[in-house]
Amino acid sequence: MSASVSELVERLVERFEREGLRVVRRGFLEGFSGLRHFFDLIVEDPQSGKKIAISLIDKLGFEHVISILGTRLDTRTPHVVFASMIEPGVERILRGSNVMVISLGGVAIAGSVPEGLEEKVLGDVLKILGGIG
Amino acid sequence: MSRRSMELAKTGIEGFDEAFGGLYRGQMVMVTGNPGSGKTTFCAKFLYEGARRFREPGLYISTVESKEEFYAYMRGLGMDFESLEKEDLFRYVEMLTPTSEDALMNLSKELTRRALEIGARRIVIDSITPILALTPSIEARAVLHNALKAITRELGAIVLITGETPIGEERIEHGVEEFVVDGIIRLRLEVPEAGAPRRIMEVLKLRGRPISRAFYDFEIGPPAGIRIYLSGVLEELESKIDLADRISTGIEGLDRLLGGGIIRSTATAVIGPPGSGKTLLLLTLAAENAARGEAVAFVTFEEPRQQIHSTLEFLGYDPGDLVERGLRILSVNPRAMSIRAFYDVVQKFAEMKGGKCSILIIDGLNTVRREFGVGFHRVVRDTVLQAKKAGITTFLSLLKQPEARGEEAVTHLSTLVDNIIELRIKEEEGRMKREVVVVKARMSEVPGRIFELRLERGKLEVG
Repeated sequence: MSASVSELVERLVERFEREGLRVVRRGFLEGFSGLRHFFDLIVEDPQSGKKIAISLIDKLGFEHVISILGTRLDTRTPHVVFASMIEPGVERILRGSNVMVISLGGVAIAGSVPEGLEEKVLGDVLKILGGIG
Repeated sequence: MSRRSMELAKTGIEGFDEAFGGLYRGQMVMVTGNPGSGKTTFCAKFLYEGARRFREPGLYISTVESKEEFYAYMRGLGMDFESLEKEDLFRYVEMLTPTSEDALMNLSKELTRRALEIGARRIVIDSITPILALTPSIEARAVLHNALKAITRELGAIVLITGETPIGEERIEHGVEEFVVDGIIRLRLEVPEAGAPRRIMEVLKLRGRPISRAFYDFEIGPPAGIRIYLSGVLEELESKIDLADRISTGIEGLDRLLGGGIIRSTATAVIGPPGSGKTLLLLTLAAENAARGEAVAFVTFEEPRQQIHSTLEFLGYDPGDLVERGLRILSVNPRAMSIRAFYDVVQKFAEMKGGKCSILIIDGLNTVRREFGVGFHRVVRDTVLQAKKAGITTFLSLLKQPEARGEEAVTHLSTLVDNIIELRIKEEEGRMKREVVVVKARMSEVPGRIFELRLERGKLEVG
């Protein structure tokens, strides 16, 4: 992960916490199968108990699809994947199972966080947490 | 499951679609069985017909066979995958001996990327067993299957995965698959001590479809590749019987014993020991009816055609004239005959579906019984039921051991046939005497008495 991506993640963690959300780094969720699935970040709304799992992947390719879908279906927790590069087509397959893919391409290439990305991610995460039924 | 994915798609496998209507899009079905049971051929046929007939691109991921081997083997079964590949309707991916931890990632990559590349609507993973072997726990395997199902739904495809069952075992993979997948088709190859091997398809589960019957015979071979047999299974047991519409046996006295002849569209077994006159009786019946303009098919598994012609001449008939009038004679060597070939020979020869034959006579069935072993009764049963449905009047000759009594000789078939004519040989005053008794004649009144069957001047007579 590039320094600029790490910087973005840290700023997001800070924003999540400022919104009153609990953030666990390198945490795990236990799936319905009993298996533990590890994530880079787990964001939880302490009031509702709703959670979002976040993974950071440098290059998201077709090789990750089975693993991500398996995890998503087993934990039944919304999953957001940040990736610097995304192989065309992968997003389409993951989207069908409600896995959100966010491109960090601009961050990795330009070395700076594009304007509005941080706000977009924050907005999306809050929307998911609010929207969990 | 989305509305799109609930669409029923024909597999293109003859017999399977007639029985089940096809498979639903978005479903994942496991095809399991011992090595050599026909899993690869079943799956290949599913892809081949999907591409060829329905223009649906297919993806085949193999962990067991190279592309060259697969193409060559399938070509031998009448499936040309090379031409489909040239049309972008087929892709074959080799994932041989997946032994590393990357196997799952490779499967993920090849499956999703290739499927999207060609817009695959049909996918086969053959076999999933080596990949599951790398997945340490039942829980992990369940997670894997669920992920595969999600991909299946998203692509709107139908996915077949094959699973290996070790020889001598019947379990399905590791126990979790039967709950996760949408369907389970188990293929078996039974090799009896005597007789031809028998292939059986069991449909143990098919989500969304009631399963009315669990066992189906099937055969592998060109040109169909694979074919499931439904004969006498799903169709209603109906036939148009008119008690007044009777066929003469060609022997006046025997017609009387039968209450005026054989009712059309029924099945009759002629039983007796060797030399009792079964073939003579059936050939008389064939010749007399052909002479009256009936289309008669005579299939024999015991005698060459020339011998049949000679016997007809001995009985005073002109074989050439009879053939012109509608008698068809087929002499088949029963050795090495498979169940598939039997169905083909009898059904196509008799042209049951076309209704061109009105009388079907099968002589020498015991020879086939030896070749078929345990599958014999079912084959005969299916053939008779199909004939009845097509309005064909059927006659079968069966060898009866001297010690067997009446219907015992046709055990398992006695409920199937409507009439049983038994021929006997009796020694009397130093000469062999033939006798005939009508043991059973459904829907007719029969005297139940034994009469002499004589051969007078080349003609059979009763009384």
